[in-house]
Amino acid sequence: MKYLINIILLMLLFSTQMQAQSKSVNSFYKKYKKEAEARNIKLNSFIIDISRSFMDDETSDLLKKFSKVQLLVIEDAKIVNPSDLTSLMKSVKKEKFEDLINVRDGLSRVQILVRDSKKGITDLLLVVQDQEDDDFVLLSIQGLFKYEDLKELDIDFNGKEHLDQLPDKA
Amino acid sequence: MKYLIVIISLFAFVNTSTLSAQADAIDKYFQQYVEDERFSVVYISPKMFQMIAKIAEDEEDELREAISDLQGLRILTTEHNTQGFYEEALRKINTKEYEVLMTVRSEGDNVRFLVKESGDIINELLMLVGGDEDFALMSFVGNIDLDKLAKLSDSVDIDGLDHLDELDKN
Repeated sequence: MKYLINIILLMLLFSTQMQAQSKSVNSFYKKYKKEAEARNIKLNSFIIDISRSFMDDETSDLLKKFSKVQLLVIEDAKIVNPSDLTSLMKSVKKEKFEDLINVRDGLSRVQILVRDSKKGITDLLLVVQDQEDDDFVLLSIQGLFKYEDLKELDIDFNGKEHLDQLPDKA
Repeated sequence: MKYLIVIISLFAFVNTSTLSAQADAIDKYFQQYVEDERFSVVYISPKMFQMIAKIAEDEEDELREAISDLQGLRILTTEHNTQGFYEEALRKINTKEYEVLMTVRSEGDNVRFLVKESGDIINELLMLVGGDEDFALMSFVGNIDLDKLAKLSDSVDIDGLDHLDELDKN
């Protein structure tokens, strides 16, 4: 009986880990969303479902695959402590996130990371540091989607054009 | 005790092999420019190539094979002191390790292809571009088949990669 309980607890633990947002991403959001210059939007599947009815078919189909979207935009990038960012990168890599593409142009940087399972991509992380507009953007998407879906992503924010740098579908 | 030593050394082996990425020419000769403001850096990870390979399912097998064997692509470019950096690259790169494959002068740019082989396999393809306006150093790491790689340049839209078409003529 005790053995059975242990197995069930292990399974629960395992399944929540698969669906939960990365802890390190979470704590980063928590820390910075309080800043005056920060705008933080958090969408869960309920809100996403409602907004889908206002969108065109294509976008609606795409949004169906997202269970959670969080977007943090900070208009004064200097507020972000570089060591916080470095440790965020280190921690997410420990949480099985992998680099997809890193681009640096002068002092502007874009990093795209993903975490996937056999079924597909479960997490996407986009970090943008824009030198020109002095913006910092952290976008986190959870759900179950494929690489092709990322190309159709149409959220309008500073730095979104960087997603277009992902090589075109062959 | 002996058992413990075996376990520890196995553990150490696993750790180092996961941590050590293949060092490419950029790591060896241009590490100091990776964070230099005058340079732009692009890194496309093996994961990204695997994903592109997956969606290229409807494309020819050859292209897919070429892509999935790639471990990574790094590009270092600048518009400053282009001739100087080109010459520096030529000086620094060890021609015993990197063999010159081809030199082309195309549209005012000097382009040089170098490869690092072990036996019959090409481990790294280096492309050096030195022109009036640009200096670029591109490094492909992985199990490379040149024909397949030249085909890749048609599908992937990255500036400078079109020089790869020169390789196709071989």
